[in-house]
Amino acid sequence: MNNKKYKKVRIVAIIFIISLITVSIFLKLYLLTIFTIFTGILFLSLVHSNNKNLVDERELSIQEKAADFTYSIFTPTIGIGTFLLLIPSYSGLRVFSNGEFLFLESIGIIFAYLTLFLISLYSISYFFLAKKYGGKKDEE
Amino acid sequence: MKNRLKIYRVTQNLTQEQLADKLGVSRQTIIAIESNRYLPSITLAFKISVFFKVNIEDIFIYQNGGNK
Repeated sequence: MNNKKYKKVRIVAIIFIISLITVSIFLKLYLLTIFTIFTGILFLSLVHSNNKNLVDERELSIQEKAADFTYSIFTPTIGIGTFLLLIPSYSGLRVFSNGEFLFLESIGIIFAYLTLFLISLYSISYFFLAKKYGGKKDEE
Repeated sequence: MKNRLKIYRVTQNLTQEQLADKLGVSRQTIIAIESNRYLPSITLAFKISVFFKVNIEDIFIYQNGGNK
C-alpha cells in the first residue's frame, strides 16, 4: 500500500468511525461506542503497519517544526493563563475571576497541572531523544 | 543550495510522481526540492544521486553563504 492509498483508506475509516461513534452516543449505546473506538484503533494500526511508504522525511521535518512551534506557543499561553486565573487566590490583584468565580480558579489549577505535564513531557522526551540521537561527550 | 533535480528528472523522462515512487518519498517532497523550498537529508540526496548514477555534487550545488 502506498502513501496515497493509505491516506485515502485512513480518511474513509476515520469518517466511518466518527459517524458510528456519533450515532452510538446519540442512541446512548455506550458499549458500541467503546467497541467502535477499540476496533477503529485496531484497524488503523493494521492499515498503518501495511503502509510501506509511510516515512517521508519532509513530512517528518514539518511535523518536528510544527510540534516545536506548538509547544513554544501553547506552553507560555496556558502558563500565563494559569497565572492570571490563580492571581485572585493569593493576592489582591484581580484579573479574570474577581475573587468570586471559584470555577475559574479550578480551571487555573487544571491549567497549572497541564503546563507542568507538558513541560515535563517535553523535557523527558527531549532528554531521551537527545541521548538516542546525540553523540557522547568522550567521542571525537 | 541550488539543485539540478528537475533537469535530471526531465532528461530521464520521469514525472514527479514516478520519481517520488522510486525514491520512496511523496510528490510534494520532489516539488519542494525542485523549487528549492526544502533541503533533502544527506540520505535522500545520496539516494537521488545513486538513482541518476551521478555524483551528489552534480545535482546539488553548494553556494557559499546561502541557507537555501
